[in-house]
Formats: sequence, structure tokens, C-alpha cells
Amino acid sequence: MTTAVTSRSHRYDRWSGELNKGRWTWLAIVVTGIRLALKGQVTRVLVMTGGLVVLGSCIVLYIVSLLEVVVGTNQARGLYEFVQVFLRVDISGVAQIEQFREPLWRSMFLLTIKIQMLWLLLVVARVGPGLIARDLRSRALPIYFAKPVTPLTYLTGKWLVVASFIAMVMLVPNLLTLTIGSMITGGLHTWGQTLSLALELILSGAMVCVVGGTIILALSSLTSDHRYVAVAWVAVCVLTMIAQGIINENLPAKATSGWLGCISLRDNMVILTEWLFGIREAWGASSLPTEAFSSVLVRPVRPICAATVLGAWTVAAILVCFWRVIRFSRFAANL
Amino acid sequence: MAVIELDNLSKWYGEVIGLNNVTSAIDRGITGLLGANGAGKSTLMSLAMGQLRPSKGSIRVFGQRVWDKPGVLSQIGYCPEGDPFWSNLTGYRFVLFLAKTSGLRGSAAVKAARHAIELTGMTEHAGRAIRGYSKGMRQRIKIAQTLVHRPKLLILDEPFTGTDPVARHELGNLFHELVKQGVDILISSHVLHEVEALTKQILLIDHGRIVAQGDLQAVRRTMRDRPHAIRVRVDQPRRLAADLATLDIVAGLRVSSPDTLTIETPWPERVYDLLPNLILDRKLSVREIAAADESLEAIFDYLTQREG
Amino acid sequence: MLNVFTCDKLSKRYGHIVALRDVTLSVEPGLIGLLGPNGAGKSTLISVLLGQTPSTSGRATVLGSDVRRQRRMIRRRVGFVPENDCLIPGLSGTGYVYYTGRLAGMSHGDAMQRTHEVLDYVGLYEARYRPAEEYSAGMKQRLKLAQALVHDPDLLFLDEPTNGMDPQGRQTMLSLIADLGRAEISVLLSSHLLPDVERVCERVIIMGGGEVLTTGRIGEMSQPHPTLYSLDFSGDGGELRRRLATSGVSVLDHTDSLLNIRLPAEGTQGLVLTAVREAGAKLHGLHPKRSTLEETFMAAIQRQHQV
Repeated sequence: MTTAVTSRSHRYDRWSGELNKGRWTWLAIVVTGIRLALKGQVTRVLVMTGGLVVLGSCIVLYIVSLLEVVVGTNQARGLYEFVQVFLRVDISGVAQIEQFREPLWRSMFLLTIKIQMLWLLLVVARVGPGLIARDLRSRALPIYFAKPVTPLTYLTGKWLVVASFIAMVMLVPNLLTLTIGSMITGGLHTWGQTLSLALELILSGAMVCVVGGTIILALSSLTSDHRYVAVAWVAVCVLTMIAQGIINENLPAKATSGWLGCISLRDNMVILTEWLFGIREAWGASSLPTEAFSSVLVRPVRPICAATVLGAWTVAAILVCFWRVIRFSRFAANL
Repeated sequence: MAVIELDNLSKWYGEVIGLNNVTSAIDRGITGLLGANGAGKSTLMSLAMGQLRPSKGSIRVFGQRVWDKPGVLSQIGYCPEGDPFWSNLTGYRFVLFLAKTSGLRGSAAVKAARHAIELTGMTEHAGRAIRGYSKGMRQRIKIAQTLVHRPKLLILDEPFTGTDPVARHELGNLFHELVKQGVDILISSHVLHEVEALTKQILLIDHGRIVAQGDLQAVRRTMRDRPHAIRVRVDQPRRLAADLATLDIVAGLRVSSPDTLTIETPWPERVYDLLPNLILDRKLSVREIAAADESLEAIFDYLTQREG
Repeated sequence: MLNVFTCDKLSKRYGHIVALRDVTLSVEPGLIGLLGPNGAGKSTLISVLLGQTPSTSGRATVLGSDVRRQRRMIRRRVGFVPENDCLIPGLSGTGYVYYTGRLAGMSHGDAMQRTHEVLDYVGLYEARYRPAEEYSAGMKQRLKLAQALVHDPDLLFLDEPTNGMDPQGRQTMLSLIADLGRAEISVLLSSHLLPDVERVCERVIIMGGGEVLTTGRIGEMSQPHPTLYSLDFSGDGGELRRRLATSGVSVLDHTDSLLNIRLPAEGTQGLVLTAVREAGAKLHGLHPKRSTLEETFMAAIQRQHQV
């Protein structure tokens, strides 16, 4: 016998499914955050052009590998000049180019990262400011915190949104370049070297994600107007750079190797990356005279100072984030 | 004399029509302006304020045309729906500033501001920044601002939104007090219950046209095509129903609960005539006799119902 | 039956401001109105029950879980509709509800299905792919309700869900709330609009100055009075009053068309009908006096002010 069934009586239907334990809640925040950010045309263009910076490094890798083949011939002369212009290292007259492969590559990645940082400034200024500020403006925080979401989950999710964009512009293209370079030249001398370079690229990328991501989140949590956040972010980055520039102009190099040399966020990250890559040591150990490679190096600063300054920024930023988010997660109006 | 007169008044914005060929006269006292969102209430208020220019027809306040006549504005106090504040100001500064913009100077402005704030019961909070006000306090400081230049007509757009029952009660008393002092009030509200408690005089707009105006009960009586519903709570509703069923003035009967009979009829007066006799003859015990659909809410529903 | 929430000497202070003072409550399932003037502590109470604001002292449980220690448990089983717009800019109706479903811990498939179900339920099915910012005020309110329902909670906190809506919008919202009650979802409805509360709620909690002033069933609060009546009539008022007086009905006050009367005993309404008939007047209504929720509310607030 068939039973007659009427559905759609426009009554509320209970749902009997299971809720998961909430381990993946952060992922929903990340995915939605990235989707919303990529809705902006400008953001998409910036991310793509940011990725294109590595085209340059691919060309350099190709030239270097070419140079190894044609060294000593007439063709090599133009290629030496190319390397000098792009990498600021004078290796003309050196016959054993393979010996310099590792420091050459590392210097090239350092340069790429320096350029990518400028792009990051813009991409983060597009993507980051609204992350928390928009939720504050639309008073959406009580919605999150009426669901099984903790401030930690919320902030992790939001931070991962910025971090993903930083990775998209910097880390992923660089790792791709390393892979391509290894394919055309057969890699660095050993697999160990190639892997350690990959690891160092990941570490430097992670550093930028942590420092940049927490700072933009903290700024974003401080006001409900995301435009102010964008302005503040650019100001924090550019003003510290300018201040550092002025100090470097007016003080002797020795004075700026300590705390005074660690004002600019970007410079600090570059200093730490250089230290991480061990470029100074690599060139120093080579047979080249100091003048030939000095311009590829950044100004000497004690890495511990730079690390401390960045660490302090990060800790402060994390504290600000939690303070603001916990404060606004409470729905108790007018008190 | 009518306070506001509308004569073939229309207002459209590009393709959007706000008011469509409306003719009416709004009497003295409190008038409730009702309608769904987008019905044209705010358009009518803006036209009465002279903030908008009629696309066609005319609107007169106190007998004068209002468009482009800022002079009339000194007689009108307007309380907008939104939050047009400089929220860093204190309530007092806000009212004082508006007192000064309406032409009061020095101690006169201070006195007027203090008085208006006192009338709305905001004296206690006037020293605090508006930023920290609750919705109800914002409404009250907005109303204080409308009173500061002692207008003869108040135009209040949703003044009850967000206010708590205590504040509403006080505002209602304030409005009645103002009417006694000769002020006329045009008030829009979504909370029909509040309007009903305040006034029986309504103006109901739907789709840019006036669908009802005047005294509430008179309005209900004009709705002849709608059978009236009379609710009788009685111990044996079915016996009463059996008697009524034989009468041709009764259009429908429904026993909606064990002790309630609802009678539908196009001729309520005649049913009211009969009911006491029927009940007494049958020796029934009656608990309540009431018109089931004369509330403003029921009337509003009838008049704004969409077909289908 | 188990209580949906309980509070035991719950207090919350912000500096020297007391937002909640020794609130002790145990609330059974159903539709419950939460009333009180601004600053009464309603928002703070909801916030504490959601585990967003830690209380200063006292205990509270929601659906049997402690608000301090079992926040996650509670939040998986409650829904919350704040008063303000709390939309996430850039998301469509579907996107928003789906996202909140994921936040509640639903899988992708479940969240998708439930999103469409609840959007249909609240009447936003046609508008579901439109950006939520374009919704009208009433639609936004219903979207917020859908957001709170997506994970099928057992208890809903609604803060002023009908505020600022037009009459039709309010009616839709109220009938949705009433229907949730039938589906055995408990609702705590905080509202300034007493008629709305009166219409859908079974019980009310009245708060003032951070304390619970009264709790009770709405039905009991609006019991018709046994002997006090008001009488709508047309015709000769003087004659009617005389006839009433001779049959033992006392007239308390009168206008041209309304009399407030007291019957000599319960169940003697027949006297009134007889008097009307004999006076040749016409009866338009006979209403027992009922205390409304508004009167109960005002009385509770005034009592508190006197203390």
C-alpha cells in the first residue's frame, strides 16, 4: 500500500545531522576570506603581477646556467655584464662558474624577495585591512561568537587569509622558480643544498607571513574603517623605511649595525633573510675580492637585533588582536 | 482648519513613484501616518517639510505652500528616522547647537535647549556623548531637538523605534500634553498598537495612494464589502450558533474554541440588536461580546492585503 | 522537563555599574519573552548565557551545560539573532547562511542542504542568491533568523527581532517564531514591543535594573476580571445607567458610549443584557477587564522604583 505524503507544509523541519567537533572551523573562515578578497579586480591583478616578478629570476637562472656552458667564449662577455647589472656581482673573468652557483642563486632569491616585498605592501594593503575592520563595522563578531568559534580560531582563520596571499605572491612563485632552475641546470651541486635552499625560502616566507600578517590584523582590529587601516599599514611600512634611510645617510655604518639599524620592518626582514640564506658567508668563502660582491649584500646589522624588533612587533600585534576581538565578541550593548 | 492640505499631490523620482495623485486634508491633533515600508510615508513627510518639490499638485502647511519657503520651517519640528548625529557631541550640545541654528541666541538658546531636554526626560543623560546612548535615548534626544524652537507642527518619523515601553509611555504623555498646548502632530509608526493608543485619527498610505483616512471606527464602517466579525464568548456557543444560522443577516459562523463563537456579518448593527435577546431567551451565560476586527491592525491588514 | 536555562545568583559588574544583580531563574522549554526597559540587563544576560561575557559571580547553565566551562557544547545547540545588522559584506543570502553553518561545525554537504532549507523556511528562497546588503530591513531580519536556525538549535536567543519592521514584516516574523515553538525549539524573545511578546510567548521574564522583577505565564497575567466589565453601547446612557443601578450593577465611570461597571457577583452578566434591552439601548461590546502585559510590566517597573 502506498502512503500519501504531503511535504512543503511550510513548517519548520528539524535536522538530525551531526555537527563535527569544530576542528575545521578555521578553514571555513579562510576559504570565505580568500573568496571575498578575490572578488576585487584590483586584488586579482596585484596577486597575478606579484607572481610575475619571478619571471625575472627565472631568466637570471637561465642566463647563469647558459654562462656555465659558454664560459670562455665570446658569447660569455655579454652574459657577464647581464649578471653584473641584475645581480650586482662582478664575476667577469671567473672560469669556474659552477663554484659560484650557490651564492649566485641565493643572492638572486634575496633580490627577488626584496622586490616582492614592495608588491606585498600593496597586496596586503588591499586584502588585510577589511579582515576584522569590516566585521567590526557590520557588527558581525557576535555572530561568530554565538557559534562554537573561539577568538583563537577566528584570528587563526583571518591570519591565514593574509598568510595565503603573502604565500601566493612570494613563497609559491619562489619555490616554483627553484624547481624550474633545478630542472634546467640540474640543481645546486647536491640535493642537500637545493633542499636547504627550499627550506630557507619557506622559513623566510613564514617569517613575512607571521610578522606582516599579525601587524595588519592588529591594525584592522583597531578601527571599523578599513581605509584607515590601509593608510596606517602603508605608513608603518613606508615611514619606518624612510626613517631608516635618513639614519643610514647620517650615521656611520658602525652605528647602524645595532638597534639603530633595525627600525624598518622591511629591512629587518631582508636582513634576517640574508642571514638565513648565509649569503655573506658564502661569498666571503669564495675566491672573489670583496669589491666584486659587496653591492649584493645588504648593510651589515646584527641579525639578533632585527629578530628582536620583529618579534616585539609580532607579540604586540597578537596581544592587540586578542584584546580587541575579545572585547567586541561580547554582545552587551551600551555598557 | 486643516493643518496640512494635499491637492492632487504627486511625487516621483525618475521612474520611481513616491506619492501618486493624493488629495487630502490632515486635521488638527495627532494623526497617525501608516503604511508598509516604501508606501510613501517618508515622501509625504519630506514634502510637508518642503525638502522635496512636488512633481505635480501642491501641498500646503498652515495654508502656505512649503516648497522653497524656509519661513514655514520655523513652525515645524521634524524628527527623522535615521541617526543624523554628530555622535561625539553630548546630548545637550547637540540640542543647543540646533537651537542656535534655528535662530535662538545666547541664554534664550540655553534655556530652550534645557527645557526641551527636560520635556523628553533626558536631563539626566544630557551631559553624556550621544555615541553611548541607547536607541531609545537617541530617539528622545532627537525629539528634544524638534521641540527646541517651539514649533506648531511636529512631524515625527518612527519616533518609537527602539524605545522601551517606559519611554514610549512617557513620550505618549508628552505628545498628549503638547496637543493640549495647541501643537499638531503627524506621526508615522510601524507599531500599530502604539498609534492606536495615541490617536484614533489615521492616514493610511499604500502604494503611494491614500487608502483610508479619518476616524478609525468610521474607516472600519466604510469597509462594507468586508463582513464584520463579532466574537461572543458564551457557555454554549453551538446553541447560539444554531439560532443565528437561521438568520439571513449572518454570513458565517465559527466555533473557534469551546467557549467562543465568531459571527461574520455584513450588518453588524442588526446582529448587535439581536444578540442580547437571543442570549437572554436561551438563558446562556455570556462572558464577552466584542468586535473581532476593529483593531487598527485588522484594518491595516484588510486595506493593504495584496491579491493572491 | 529539563530546564532550557538556569541562573543561580548570577551577577555581572562592569566597574561600579551593576548589569546583573543576583539573577536566579530556572526556565522551562517554550516561547519565553524577556522584557525590561533599556539598561535592565537583558543584553548582558543573553551575552552571559552565550558564554561571551564572563559573569562576576554566580552560576548559569544553558541546556544543562555550564556557561563557563562548556561553552562549545552550548553554542552548538543555541542560535542567536542580534539586534543590529550583523551581515558579512560581500556574501549572498546563501553564502552567508552557508558560512554560519560551517562555523557551527556542519559539513559542506549538510551546510548546503540546510542553507536552502532554512532560506525557504524564512521565505527568502527567491532572493537567496542576491547580495545580502541589497535586502530590505525585513528580509535582513529573516536572513538573521535563517543564520541562527541553520544548525537546528534547541534554543534561540532573539534580540528585538521585530524592531523597525513594518506591520506585515512583523507578522511574518512572529508567525515564524510561533511555528518554531510548535517544532519544540525554545525561544527567548527580548523585545520592547509588548503586543508582539503577548502574541507569541507563553511565559515572560520581566527585568529591571539588573534584577528579575516578575516571571509568569502570560495567560495568567492577562486573566479576565470576574466582575469588572466595560460596556460599549449606543442609545440613552442615562436610562441605561438607571436600569443597571436598580439591578445591582454599579457604574464606575462613563462616557457617551462606554460604561465601566462592576457586577454584583460572578456570572451575572445577564443583568447587563436585561438592562440594555429594557433601556432600549444597543449593545456594541461587553468586555471583561483584563490586565494587559503592558500593565503588568509598568506595575513591575514602578514597584521597583519605589523600593
